[in-house]
Amino acid sequence: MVIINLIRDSLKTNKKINILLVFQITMVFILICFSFGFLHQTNLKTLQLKNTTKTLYKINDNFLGEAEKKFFQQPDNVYILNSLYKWLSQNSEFDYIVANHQSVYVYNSKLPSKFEYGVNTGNNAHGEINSLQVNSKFLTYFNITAEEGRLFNKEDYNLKNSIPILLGSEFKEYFKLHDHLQLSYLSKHFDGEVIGFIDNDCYYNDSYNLRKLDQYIILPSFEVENLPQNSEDKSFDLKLYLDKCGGLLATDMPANYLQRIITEKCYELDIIPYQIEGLISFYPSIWGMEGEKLQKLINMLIIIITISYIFCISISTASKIRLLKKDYAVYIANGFGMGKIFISVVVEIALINFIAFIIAVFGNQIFGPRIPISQLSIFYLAITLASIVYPYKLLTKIDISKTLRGDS
Amino acid sequence: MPLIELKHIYKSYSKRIVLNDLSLKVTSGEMIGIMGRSGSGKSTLLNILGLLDTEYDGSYIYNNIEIPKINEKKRTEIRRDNIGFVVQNYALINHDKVSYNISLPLLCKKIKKKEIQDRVEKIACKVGIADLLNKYPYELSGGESQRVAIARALIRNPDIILADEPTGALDQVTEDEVLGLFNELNKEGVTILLVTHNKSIANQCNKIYELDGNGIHIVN
Repeated sequence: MVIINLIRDSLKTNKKINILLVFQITMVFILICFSFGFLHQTNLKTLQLKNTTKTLYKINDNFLGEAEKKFFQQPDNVYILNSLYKWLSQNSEFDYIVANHQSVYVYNSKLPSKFEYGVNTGNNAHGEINSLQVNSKFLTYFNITAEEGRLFNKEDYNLKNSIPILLGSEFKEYFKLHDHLQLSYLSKHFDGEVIGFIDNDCYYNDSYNLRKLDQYIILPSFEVENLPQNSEDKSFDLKLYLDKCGGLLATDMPANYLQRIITEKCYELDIIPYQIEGLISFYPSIWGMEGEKLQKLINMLIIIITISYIFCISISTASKIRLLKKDYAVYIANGFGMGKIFISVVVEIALINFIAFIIAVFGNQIFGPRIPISQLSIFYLAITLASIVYPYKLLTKIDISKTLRGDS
Repeated sequence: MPLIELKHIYKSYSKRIVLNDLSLKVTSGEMIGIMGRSGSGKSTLLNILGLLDTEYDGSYIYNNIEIPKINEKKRTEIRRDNIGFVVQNYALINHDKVSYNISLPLLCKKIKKKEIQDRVEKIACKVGIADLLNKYPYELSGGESQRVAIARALIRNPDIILADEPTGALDQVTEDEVLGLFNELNKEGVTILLVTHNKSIANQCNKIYELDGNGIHIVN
């Protein structure tokens, strides 16, 4: 009862400041939730990637403008790209990961617009849907697992009449295993058979950010033994190989060494040298900002606001203690221990923080991404503990007798 | 056996010695006046006796308990159960009612609300403030406030009341009323130790001590 009275009296003092403090600490918790959720998701994804110890590089061609036009005018260049692809995929100094992003058309499907990527083509066709053409190393490196059905086996990488396809987890509502989808890919029509659905929360790294595969159609990157003879097929394969040569390298080799051997190979094949760029980030992008930068910004904000909050609540509590110390002295002179006074100060600070904590927990449960309450509780306790250090020191310095006499 | 026995008490603030080799015995039922100039250590002595100040040298035996040897918790218990304080500025909690102020020493222990209420009403009647229980301290006069403080000091039936200039802020009529109340309480057996710089007030006590730089001396 006395502790409640002490808290009530203290809360009545500096009411407006108390409201501001609640607002400030709520902001801290909201930012913590946001950062935690962001970090939690990122860590989860990073953990999903088996070979994160290896550095990931993206390899890019340099066919631009006239050079590109000229290169594609010669279907026989498919042999050059085929050689480059073979060299890349068979090189022992790195793992070559094919992850060609292309959009495919899915005909006669009942897919909702959330799957659409690009413009709807109208008649009997759904809009473009994200697809990836991948090799087996893609599945291994990004730790892709099947929730239902199976992943690609060795046979699936050989071109057949019906292409085996894997669907992201969100397709499960609309298709089932062994359904056949009519696809259009690089202007060619294919029949795709659903052989599996990949697990929810599978990701891959596309140049700068992690992409969730829940709405992706995954196609095998076909290994073509015999290159086509007619020019139409050659043109198709030329585009195909251009994509296949723009994959990812997972390696322990230094970047300059990688660049050197790739340049040498390109010179040998008489093409403009390809370039590599490092992909060290596994952060999803948000609000158009690169994830890692956003994470750092949020963390910095959290640190600044938390420190300023601890400073503010310490000063505010200290000023209340100064205002109420006569009351505290009266309580002590009448048989209360300093412990009870201290408990009332701690409970008051904990209460202000708890309001913000509850708002944050509810907000987090509603808006997500959900983070464990235990982790938020640790922050709650840490902030509360840090906030009581200065008030505690001040309380221990109160001279009860002087305060009672009104000398202080 | 004395209720309080101080032996060779030394107390200083920084380099200034306030109490120098002070020894004092207080027997149950006495009414003692302690006089002295400003800064002679009267209030310091009262704080030591009231267990509010524990930083001194020497021996303090309260009811056979060696105070310097016990911990803060035990000191708090002794203070709560045995000592009542009355100070010049009343030391009331302004934003709580008179009844709450009086009941403060009872709130430390698990006593039923009804019993607390009964005891508050009883003690309020005794000191003549029964009609003030629902008022706030800022609505009271000086004399009424001091009666509230006395009621609060008495509510646990303490062995001793330590009063530090209890009439310092009161007019003559009210001063007489408050002193009359102290005398009545003393006749009922309550030990009272009254610090004052006013000789006429001190004269109402059974014993008068005077504090100076050389220690404490009995005056009458």
